Amino acid sequence: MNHRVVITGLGIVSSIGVGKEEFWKNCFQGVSGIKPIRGFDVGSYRSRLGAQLPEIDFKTFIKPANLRRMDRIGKIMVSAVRLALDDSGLELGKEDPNRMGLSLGTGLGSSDTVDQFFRSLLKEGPTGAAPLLFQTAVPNAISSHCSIEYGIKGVNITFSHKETSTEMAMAYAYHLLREGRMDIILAGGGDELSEPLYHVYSMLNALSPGRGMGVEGMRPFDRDRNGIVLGEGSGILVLETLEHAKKRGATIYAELAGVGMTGSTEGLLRYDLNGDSMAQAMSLATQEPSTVDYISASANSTFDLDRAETHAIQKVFKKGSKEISVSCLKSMLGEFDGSGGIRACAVALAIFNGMIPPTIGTEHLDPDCDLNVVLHQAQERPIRSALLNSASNGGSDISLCFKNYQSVQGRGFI
Amino acid sequence: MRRRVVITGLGVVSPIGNSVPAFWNSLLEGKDGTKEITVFDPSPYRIKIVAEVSGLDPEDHFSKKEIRRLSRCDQFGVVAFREAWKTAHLDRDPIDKNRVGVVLGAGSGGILSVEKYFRDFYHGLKRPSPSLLISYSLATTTDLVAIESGLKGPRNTTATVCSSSSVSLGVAYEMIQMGMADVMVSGGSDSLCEVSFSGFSSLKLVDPESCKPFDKRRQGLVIGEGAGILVLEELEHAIKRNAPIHSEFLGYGICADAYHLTSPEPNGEGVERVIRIALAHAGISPEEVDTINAHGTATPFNDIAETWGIKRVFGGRAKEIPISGIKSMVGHCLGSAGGIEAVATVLTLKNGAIPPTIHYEVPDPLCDLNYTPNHSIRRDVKIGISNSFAFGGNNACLVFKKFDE
Repeated sequence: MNHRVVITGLGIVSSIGVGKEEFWKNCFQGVSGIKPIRGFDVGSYRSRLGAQLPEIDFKTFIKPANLRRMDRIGKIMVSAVRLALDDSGLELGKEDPNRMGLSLGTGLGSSDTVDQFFRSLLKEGPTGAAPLLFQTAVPNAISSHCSIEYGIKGVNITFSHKETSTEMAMAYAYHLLREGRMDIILAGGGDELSEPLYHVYSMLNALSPGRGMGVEGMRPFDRDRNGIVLGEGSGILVLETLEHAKKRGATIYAELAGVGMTGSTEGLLRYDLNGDSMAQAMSLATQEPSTVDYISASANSTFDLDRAETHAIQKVFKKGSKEISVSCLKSMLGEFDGSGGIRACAVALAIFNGMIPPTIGTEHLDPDCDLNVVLHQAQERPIRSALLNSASNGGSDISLCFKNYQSVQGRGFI
Repeated sequence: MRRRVVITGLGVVSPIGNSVPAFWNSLLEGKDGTKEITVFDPSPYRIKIVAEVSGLDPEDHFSKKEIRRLSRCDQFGVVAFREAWKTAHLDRDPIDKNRVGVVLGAGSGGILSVEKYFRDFYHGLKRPSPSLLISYSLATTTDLVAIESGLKGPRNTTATVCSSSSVSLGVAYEMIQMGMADVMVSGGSDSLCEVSFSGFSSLKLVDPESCKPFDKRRQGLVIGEGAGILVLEELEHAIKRNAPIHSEFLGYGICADAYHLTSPEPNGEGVERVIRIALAHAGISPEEVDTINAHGTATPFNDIAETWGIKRVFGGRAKEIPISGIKSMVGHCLGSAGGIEAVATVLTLKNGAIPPTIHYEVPDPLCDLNYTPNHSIRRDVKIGISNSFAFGGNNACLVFKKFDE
C-alpha cells in the first residue's frame, strides 16, 4: 500500500525574498534578483552580475549559540528549514524524531569555507589548517546542522549532483514517504554564491556572456541567450504522508505525485534530455499528459539546454505541448545547482494559488524554442498537475510531477 | 512486493590491491596499506603517513589526453568500474542501457586537481589550466562512469563523505525498487588530497603510526583512498542473463545522531538505531547476523560508540559475532570507504572467510568484542552487515546475505 505524499510547508531564502509571502509576491510580479555582484571584486572577469541574497539577520531563525559553528551556507539552509517548519505548523515536541528526516541537495555546499581553509593552509602551512573551518567544510555539514538544531533523527542524506542535487533529494524523500518509512521529510536544498565558485564558473566559460558575445543576463528560451548568471539561496519543502498531514489538520499546498529520472551520455559539460524523465514522472503519478497545465522549466539560458528541453517537451506532449504554460524562474533567481528547492516551492505556490509566475528577461523567443512560454506577466490558470524539470550538465535529468490536491478532492476546479 | 536485489559485479582500487582478487588476498593476509605520502609534499606535516594507492599506472588504463583531464579520483572510479562491469559480464551481455543507472558516493572528489589549480592561482605562479576545475563538482566521477559505458538510467551522487558510498548503495537499491532501473552501478571513489589530510589532522583524529581499530593504543585514522564499485541488479534480470551472483543486498538503514558536528553520540544510541533500521528493512532479526564489517576508524570515540551500539543491538551474543575493522589495512578511504567495505563484506559471505583487524595488540576494556584480531578466520557466514558513520552523526548500515535461490 503506497502512501500519498503532500507538501505542507515551504521555507524559502532567495534573492527575491525570504519567506514564502515576500518570495511569492516578487515571483509572480517578475522581480529579478540579478544585480551587480556585491561583496567581492569581479573586475578581472567578463561577467559582473549575480543574484545574491539580501542581508539576512540569521539570529531571527537560529539560536545564537548555534550560529557560531555554522558557515554562511549552513545558516542559509538552517534558516530555510526553520521557515519551512514554521510554515507547516509542525510542533517538533509532538512528533517522533525518528519518523522525521532530512534529504538535502547542494551542488557545491561550503565552497567558501573550503576556500578559506585552503588559503590559510597555503599561507601558514599545517598550523593554518583550522579545525572549525574543516568541520563545516564537508558537504553534509549542512544537514548535520539542521538535524542537530531541530533534533531530527530519521533519515539524513545529502546529494550533490550539479543541477539535479535538490531534485534527487526530493525524489528520494518522496520514495521513502510513499513506502511509509518516514512520516515527514524536510527536502530540498540550496547553494551559495561564493567568490571561488564565481571564479570556477568564469574560468570554465560557463557564465553569460559566454565567450564575450552579447549582453550579460539570463534570457531563457531567447534567441540571444548566452549563458547563465549565478544565483544562490535555499528552498525547503515539508513533505509528509497524506495520513499524517490530515491527522494534524495541515494546510496542503499540493501533492508530490511522481518522479522520473534518466541520464544522457553526451559529455561531461553537455546538457541533453530526451523527455523520458517527464514521461516516467507522469506515469508514476498516474497523470495523463493532457492534465499537465504547467511546466517549471530547467532552461538556464544556455544554447544547449533550452533547446534540448524544448525538444523533449515537444516529444512527450506532441501537439499538446503548446497547451502547457511553460515558465522559467532562473532569470529571477539566477542559476545554481541547488535551485530546485526554491523552484519546487514556487510550483507548490503556483498550484495552490492558480497562478503561474512569468519568465522574465526573454524578449525574442527562439523559433527553436517554440513553446507556450509565459512571458513578462504572471498568468492566472487553474493547474491540475505540473512538472518541475531539472537537467545537469554531464547528463542527469530529473522531473517531479506535482498534483493539485484540492482538485483531486473535487473541492476546486477541473 | 519488493524486488530482490543481488550483487553481480565488484571492482576495487585500494591501498592493498587494485583488483578484487588482489584486494581480497591482501585482506586475508592482513596486509597494511600504510605508507609515506607521495601525492602531495608531506614535509610540512608532523604525520607523514597515509594509505595510498600504488602500482596503478594511469597509462595502462587511459590515453594521454584522458590522464590530463581525469582527476585521481576519476581514474580510480573508472578503473574499478571497468572491473565491476566486466566481471558482471555486462560488457558482453545485451542489456537495455536506459535501464542501467549510476549512483556513486563522493568525499573530497577531484579536489586534488582543484587544489593544484588554486595553489598555482593563489601563488600567482602561472596561469593554471582551467580544465583542472572540471573536478570542482562531486558529480564528475559519476558522470564519467556513466559516459564510459553509455548508461542512461538514473544518475546521482551522494555526499555524506565518510558514509557516502554506503548511502549510495541504499539510493541505488531504491532506484531498482522504484522501477527506474534494473541494474545500478554504485559505491564510490575518492583520492587523497591536502584539504582532507590537513583537516583531519587539525582535528587531531589522525594516528601518527598506523590505524589500530579497537586497540587501546589507537589514536585515530590513517587517511586512505581508492574506489569500491558494486553492480546491483534485480534478481530476475540477473538470472535471465546467467550473471555471476556474489550475494544478495537485503536492505539498509540511514539515520542521524542529531548530536554533534564531529563526535558520535557517545552511548552508541545512533549506532544501535541505524543497525536496527537496516535489519528491519532487510527483514532480518539480530539473531541472524553472522559478521559485522565495522566502521572502526580507530578514533577514540568512534570505536567505543560503535562497540556500545553493537552491544545494544546484539546483547549477550555481541561477543560471538566476528567483527572486521579493515580500515586497519586500507585506511579510511572517506568517500569510497563504504564501497570498499561493502565489497569486503560481499566477499566475506561469498568466500566464507572473515578479514582481520590488524595492529590489534592491547585490548581496550571499553572495546571488548571479537574484532578478529590480526588473522583472518574461515567461517561459513550467511548474513553480514557493514557500518559507516560520518561527521555530524550521518549513520548508514548495509545488510547482505550469502546468495541462495
